[in-house]
Amino acid sequence: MENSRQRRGSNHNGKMQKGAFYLPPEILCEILSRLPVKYILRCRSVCKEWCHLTLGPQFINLQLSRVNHQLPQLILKSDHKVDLQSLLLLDTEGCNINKIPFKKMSCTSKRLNCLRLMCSCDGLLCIAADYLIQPVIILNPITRESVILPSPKRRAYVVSHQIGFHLDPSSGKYKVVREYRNMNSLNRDEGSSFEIITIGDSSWRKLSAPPVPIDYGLGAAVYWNGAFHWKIQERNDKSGDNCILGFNVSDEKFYTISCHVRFGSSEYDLLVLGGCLSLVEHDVHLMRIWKVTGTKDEGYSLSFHCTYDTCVRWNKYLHYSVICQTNADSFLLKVSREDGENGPNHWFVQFFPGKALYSYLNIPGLPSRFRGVYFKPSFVSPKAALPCYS
Amino acid sequence: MSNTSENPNPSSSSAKMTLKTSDNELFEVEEAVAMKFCTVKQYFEDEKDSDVAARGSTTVIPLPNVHSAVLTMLISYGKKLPQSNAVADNHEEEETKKKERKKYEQGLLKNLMPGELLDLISAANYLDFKEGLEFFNQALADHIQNKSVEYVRKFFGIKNDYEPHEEEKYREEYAWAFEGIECWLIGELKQFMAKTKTLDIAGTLLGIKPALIVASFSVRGLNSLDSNILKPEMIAPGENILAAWINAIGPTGLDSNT
Repeated sequence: MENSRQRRGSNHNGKMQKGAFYLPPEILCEILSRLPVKYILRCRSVCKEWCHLTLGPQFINLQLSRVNHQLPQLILKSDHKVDLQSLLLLDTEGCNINKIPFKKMSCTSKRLNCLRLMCSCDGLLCIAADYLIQPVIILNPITRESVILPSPKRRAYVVSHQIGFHLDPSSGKYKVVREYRNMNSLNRDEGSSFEIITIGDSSWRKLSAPPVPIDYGLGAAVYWNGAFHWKIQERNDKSGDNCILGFNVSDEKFYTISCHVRFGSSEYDLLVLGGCLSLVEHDVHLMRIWKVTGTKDEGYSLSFHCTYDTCVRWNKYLHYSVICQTNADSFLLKVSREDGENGPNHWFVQFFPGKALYSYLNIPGLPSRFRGVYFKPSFVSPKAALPCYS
Repeated sequence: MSNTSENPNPSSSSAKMTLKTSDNELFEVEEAVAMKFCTVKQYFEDEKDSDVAARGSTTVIPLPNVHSAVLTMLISYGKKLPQSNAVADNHEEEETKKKERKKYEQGLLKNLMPGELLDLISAANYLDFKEGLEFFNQALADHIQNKSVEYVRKFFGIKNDYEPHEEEKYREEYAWAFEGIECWLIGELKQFMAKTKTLDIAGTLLGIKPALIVASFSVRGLNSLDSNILKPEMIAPGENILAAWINAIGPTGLDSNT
């Protein structure tokens, strides 16, 4: 390869001779978009040309499409006000950990401290308060750009706040849908309120949902197959079988998914497992998985899939929630243990139902109490959707 | 082939094409492989349109931007790819072929100097060799991944056009992106750490039938160090287990035991 080195005009001992090696921008884009986000940030400081290249829309879209095909990472925010002042980004095996401080974010860190992670889409995080309906912020923690969604004039305290945030494929815009229950409405037997906003709009629009009671929750509405989903509170549901309420993002219509078994008051997780919307029922030591089957046209229904014995008798002091199914034979769980006055302690374990085995994930720097969401880091800008942006 | 009646099937393995590199070396390449270089394919198809009789070995396709050493590598990579006209293998054969290819790819990357990657990418781009480009782009991305900014600049021969204070400001703002040990050892460390496991209390099992029975000669508790601990820390099944012996004599009399 001697000849080719001479032809290039620079030698590998680091002494630069003639010119830089020329790579066309498309190839450079291709190469850089394969790097993890942390290294792309580093590469921006190599030279101004590279910085320009990675700021362009072609690169942002290429990187986004690549990251959408990879396994998602988890981003965590500590629940302690004082603890960390940063978001923790980790991949689901817990091998690579990055601490992203939010003191440099464009919203004030004081605000961000009290808010919780709700959900994410395309590298954008939706952050809101658990018990207040404002503010709701859309933030990209990598580029640190954020947009504060418009708030109603009066402060409203809520007991349930479940937000869904996703790209509407038919319009190409990001929509935020939320369910909440006013604190004052408990006595009056009022149902949940639903609101929707497209990023760039100046106000939220009220939605009229079917009169089914939604189970209390704080966090994300589960996105699956073009729609957001919330669990229906069966105890109070008068119309019978309904189990899950769905809302299609594109045509903005509600629908319900029925199930022929009552779950009663056991704990559950509503999430997507293996591409299917699933309900994981926690029944003392058993983990029962129900999956949604059917099609949009013929209707969906929930049917039993399988049961696993967790070999642990869970209770109100020690409980878990399923984060995801890391592969065919293991689940990632977040375990929560009540610690008296200090509140709950959280940590991650991997559960292998086939071998009745638990593997504790030792993640340095993990806060003792946190909430996490699935996250695919990207450089998408929340501001790009605003009307003033050309 | 000059005699078209002998080889009516244009994609049979004996059909060859000649490629000429920038240093005037001639390469005879099987048509199936050469067709993966879309630039060559385009040239060949243009030629075919203009002159039906002269095909294959009589046409020499010039590649003025590709050096012979680079072309050798690209051809050998192209040969290892699944041929588009190959007979469909059953699942097992496919799996073995995949494994072979992975091994070959790893071997190829080990022997490659990083600087050669740039030449390969440039040539693959010129030849429009999609699979090669994909593979070498990924290899280059993997190589520059955890390297310092200075290394990346040297590697590509790029001059830093930032002012020192600009660069300093950027590094301070995105300090988290610049953290991390840039050492090849970290890969080895991770492998090592993965082999150690931690035990943690999963909880107390209740209602498991049949209940575990402890052998009559085994200790049940109290723990000798801390009498608050009523049960032994760990129990494993089995009796007549030979747990340890002095180094001098093993239980089987062999040189090594597991």
